Amino acid sequence: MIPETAADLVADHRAYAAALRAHLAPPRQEADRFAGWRGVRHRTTEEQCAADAGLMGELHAGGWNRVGWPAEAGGLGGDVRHRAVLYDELIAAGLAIPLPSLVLEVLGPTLARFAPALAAELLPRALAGLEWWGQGFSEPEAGSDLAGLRCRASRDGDAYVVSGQKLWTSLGATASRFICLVRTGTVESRHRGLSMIVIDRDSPGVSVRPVAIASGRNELAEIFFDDVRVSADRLVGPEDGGWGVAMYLMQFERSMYPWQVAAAGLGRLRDLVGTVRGSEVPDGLTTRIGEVYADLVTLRARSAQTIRRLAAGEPVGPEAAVDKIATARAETGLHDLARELLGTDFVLGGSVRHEEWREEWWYSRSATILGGSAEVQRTVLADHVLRLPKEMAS
Amino acid sequence: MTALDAQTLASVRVSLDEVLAGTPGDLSSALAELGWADVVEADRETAAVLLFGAQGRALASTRLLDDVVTHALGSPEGTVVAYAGILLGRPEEGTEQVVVLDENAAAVLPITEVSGRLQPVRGFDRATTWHRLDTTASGEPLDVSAETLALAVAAARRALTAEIVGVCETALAMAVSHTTVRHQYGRPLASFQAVRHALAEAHAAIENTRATLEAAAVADAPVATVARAARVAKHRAGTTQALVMRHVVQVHGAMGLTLESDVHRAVTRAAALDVLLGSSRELSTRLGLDLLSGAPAEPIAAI
Repeated sequence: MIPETAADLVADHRAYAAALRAHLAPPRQEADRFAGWRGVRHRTTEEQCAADAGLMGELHAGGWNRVGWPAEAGGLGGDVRHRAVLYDELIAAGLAIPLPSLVLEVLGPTLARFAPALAAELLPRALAGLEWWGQGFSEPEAGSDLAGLRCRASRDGDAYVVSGQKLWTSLGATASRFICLVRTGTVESRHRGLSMIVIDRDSPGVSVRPVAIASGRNELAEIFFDDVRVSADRLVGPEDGGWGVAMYLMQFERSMYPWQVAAAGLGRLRDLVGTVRGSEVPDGLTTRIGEVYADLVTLRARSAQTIRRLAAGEPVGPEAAVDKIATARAETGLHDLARELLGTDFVLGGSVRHEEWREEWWYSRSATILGGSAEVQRTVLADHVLRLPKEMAS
Repeated sequence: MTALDAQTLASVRVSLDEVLAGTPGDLSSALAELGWADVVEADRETAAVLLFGAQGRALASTRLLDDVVTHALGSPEGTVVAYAGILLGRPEEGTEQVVVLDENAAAVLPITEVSGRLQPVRGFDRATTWHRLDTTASGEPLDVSAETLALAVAAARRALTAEIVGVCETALAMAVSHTTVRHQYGRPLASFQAVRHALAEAHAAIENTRATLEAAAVADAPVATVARAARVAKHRAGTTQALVMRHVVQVHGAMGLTLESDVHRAVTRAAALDVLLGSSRELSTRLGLDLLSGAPAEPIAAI
């Protein structure tokens, strides 16, 4: 359990960081409660998710990952800075950032803000690793263009009937709920006719097809809804108010995710540099190592600013596209560097480590696509921050 | 982050922009009139970021950086600085000594040994006031600790980062205004996606540099961390000015290559600031070498 000084830790995220560091460090005397997770990586995303959920359960049992979440949603108080600290300390201790928490950090604050009753019901289970969620935004006909979504939800008494399809859902293969942006208005209503709703995977009419990325891992999924009845109290925010909810959500998608990428990336850079230290580094790559390190520091510096703003209750808005651009640069740069430093072994090496770098390299390519493509981020800045003349529609 | 509130910061920024856009000769009296000493007293680091940001935006060239270094080194009045042999101007009447500063060493020379060895620079920036000190001038080692020296170099690098950010802000503002006004194919240049995305990238690079600079102000950290953080910040400023200037020159078309537009002033000013105390390339190589020899890949930015 969290020590009796928990109130102090909740009040001060730096004190929490110090206590957490001591808790996560490998013990000298007694058995290591985190031994099953330290430096352990699983072959499939499904196994990895299950193991990571176990890690969340262990953290939850001690109260550690409840800090940073509101008491009404099963938390112990504190704010987003505590959560940022948690991911940092997990990496510092040789543990991983649990996969389910990547999605939780995006959807959790949104539920807490727009659907308190649902948050009280579902968030404690997610924090305990008993379930995890998928974010159902993209569709076959609408990737980054959210206003073009077609998956329909029609009101029928005290329920909605959902029909349509979602695509590119992270952790979709194993998630037990999908938090979806669906169309409650006409297609012509664009962003004004969208609503957000929580759909249980085990509802009649839901089917899931895992989508393997090129590494062979089922990182994504396609979800089909065939007249699925969803109780109206599963709505997140008002009917037709989904766009505003999604914009709120984007602040977290473009702030905590970058922070997690920076924390994990610095850990991976340490591994990579450790691998090549003492051997001859090809011409030019010493400088690349320095550049990638600097890119990770920049990413972290920027997302630290953004997270502090969120913690202070300031809106982040379209400026978060800056964080997203820094994320893509650091994430793709790190994995391209690994590819160059490992050389032939990256392509042909048979060890688990080489396999891991190859898998992560493929995943790193999503940094310029997920959560709004690199092009969308630039357009957001051009439109809403620089306020340049609008691009002409074709 | 600072003892100064947002409103004060905003009004100081406006006043500084006015002062630095004015005659550089009156700089110290103009700053005194502004009550600048009080701002510095309240928060030296924020004051430096504000002052050098304004100097960058004004594309002004002054000796202000010398004050950062001499304060950090505890040098007496009448000291000017040579940055790896570069002086930011001809020493004024009353100058007594020159501190020759490098990453790993500092030496001091009496002004009497310097005067004959100074050459005005004729370089990329046609309007520069910089001078070069002949390389045979070595001087006596300066009596400061390695830590003091490292902190002085780090403070100067942070100031230069702030200044490069300012130069980039001005360059981007020129590009936004030019591409909004200028029409081709019947519509503003800034309505073409290629142009919009280039300017958005420039904006993102500038904001990310500002964040890196803020994170580099880690006063209570070990000296090695302070030094590393400042290297990262100055490296970031260097990569940012390269990206911003490439895009800004491109979107200005041929106009950006002429003396008739001010674009060249931003390009050459940023280039000059990039070479002072380590270019972006030199600094990333140093960062890479340090990591390979066992330095920690420390996160620097805290939350």
